[in-house]
Amino acid sequence: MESQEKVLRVAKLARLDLGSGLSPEDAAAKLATFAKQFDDIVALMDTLAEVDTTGVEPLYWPLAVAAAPPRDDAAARHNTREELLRNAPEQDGRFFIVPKIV
Amino acid sequence: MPSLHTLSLLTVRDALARGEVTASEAAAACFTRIRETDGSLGAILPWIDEESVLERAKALDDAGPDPSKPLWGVPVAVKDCICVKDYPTTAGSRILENFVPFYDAFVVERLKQAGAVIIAKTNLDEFAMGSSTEHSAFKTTRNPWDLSRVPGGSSGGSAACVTAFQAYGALGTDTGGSIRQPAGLCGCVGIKPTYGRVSRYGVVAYGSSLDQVGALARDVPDAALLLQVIAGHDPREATCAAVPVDDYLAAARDGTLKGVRIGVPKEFWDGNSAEVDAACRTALAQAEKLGAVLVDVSLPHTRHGVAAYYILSPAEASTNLARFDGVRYGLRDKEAHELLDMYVKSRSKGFGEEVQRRILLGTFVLSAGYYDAYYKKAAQVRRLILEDYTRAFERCDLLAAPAAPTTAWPLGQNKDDPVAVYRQAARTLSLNLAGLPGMTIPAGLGKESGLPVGLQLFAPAFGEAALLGAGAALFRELPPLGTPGGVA
Repeated sequence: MESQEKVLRVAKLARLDLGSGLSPEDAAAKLATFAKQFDDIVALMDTLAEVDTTGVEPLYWPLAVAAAPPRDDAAARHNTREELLRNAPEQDGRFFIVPKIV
Repeated sequence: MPSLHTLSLLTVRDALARGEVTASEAAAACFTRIRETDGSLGAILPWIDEESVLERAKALDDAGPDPSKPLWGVPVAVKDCICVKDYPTTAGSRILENFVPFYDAFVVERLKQAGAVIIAKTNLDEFAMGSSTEHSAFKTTRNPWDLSRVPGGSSGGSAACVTAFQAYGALGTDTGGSIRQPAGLCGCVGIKPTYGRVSRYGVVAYGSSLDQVGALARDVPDAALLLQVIAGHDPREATCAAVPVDDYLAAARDGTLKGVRIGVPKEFWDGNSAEVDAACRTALAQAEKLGAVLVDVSLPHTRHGVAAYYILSPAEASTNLARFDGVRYGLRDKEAHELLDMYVKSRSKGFGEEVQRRILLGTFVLSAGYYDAYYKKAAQVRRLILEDYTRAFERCDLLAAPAAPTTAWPLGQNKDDPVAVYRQAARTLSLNLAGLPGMTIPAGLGKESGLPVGLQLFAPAFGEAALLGAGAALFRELPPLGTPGGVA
């Protein structure tokens, strides 16, 4: 049960509803499966504890050479408003429209 | 005279340049082949209509062959996580089902400038997360050698498409083996360049420190030419390296194995099926005959690669996929009447199960109290893995390893056991952690299954020319696989 609660807690942080579109029974089954898989995968992750990493600098980015040289700090217009709005689920030609917040 | 669609990319390219074949004929031959085979194969997502492609081909024909364009008139396919202007780019996800980019990815700009004709978008595991191409929201891709089996993934659509002669070459992406593993399971060539060699501009992000675009084709020089076209600096992409691009095509044409020291890392040669082991060792023996020197090496930390990868890649994925919120593009759940509810409903409806699983894992390892134990620890192990490779390359020029521990497996296998699936990728993913280039070539057919076995070669950073040279020299001297039986 503990791992199911953990999965629900993380899902909330990730803005996911694991039961979306499912019947209560199917949602419960999916949660149980996810929790079991989550435990298996975390057990896999935990095997890293056996590696001695004392004093090892983390490698977050594997770029073998310096990244690209910085660009000139100059303003440039790349995209039009119309282009940027084109794929929006709802827009009024000027802004993205979202449901009421307050 | 073999059928037009079965020619190699370079052969058709040369025929197009000489005016012996028109761009329209080449494109039409591929479309005919797609119609004949794709109902059962499922490699193609039908976002690009034949009419508009034939228009582009006709425009090229009207202008006539252009010797300055290295891919003039050549039909190629592009994995559907790479933006092609004015056609849907879905990344295999419901959440992007209606997304139509208004710009080309850098690699697509390059293909177009080179005169290529983009004829199709290829299927993939949703957001490139998977190794079987069964996790697409739209269809399942099958293996051209046996339609009851997976093509590998996540670039399974590109690998199946090229192997089944639907296009002369294709682009894929490789975050943990997504080019090299399907190339191996389908029996084609697939190259993943050094991290930073190719721009990721316009590529749907999965794991930003791991993702790299590469090429799949039926022969090594074909893949070399595609890489030649897409490699190079892009000022819009901060991790794209300003390193000169070697002449990859010349490297592939003139390559030799004489005196090349090939390291054989024992960690990747244990635990493979008997037929994979036999086919890959036969290929190594052939390399030795051609003058290569085999060197035993060890990459001790790579046995922790799977654990490190399945911390780092979901962490990056959960961050990248936070952008899908139903506001600016992608699916929005229309029933939600409040903002937070809209985020949750849109994401829950739009993302498939494997993507949800990885978002959860990533959110977990980045959450307060776990960050150091998992994310930082995995990044430290990542450095140890890179140092293993660096040490190995002090003693040899290239490394060799099987692309996968088995040949293609039946559809649906391991469906509920993600850990088993993740472990299958052990031979490919540590290379992404290290950011180094790798290429799969077909080693032969497995004795028991009769299915393709792929051999990977790895090189030091920006060593693509060495990789292509040695790979081409070896592939030329290996027995040809023959024609895939599932789409004959």
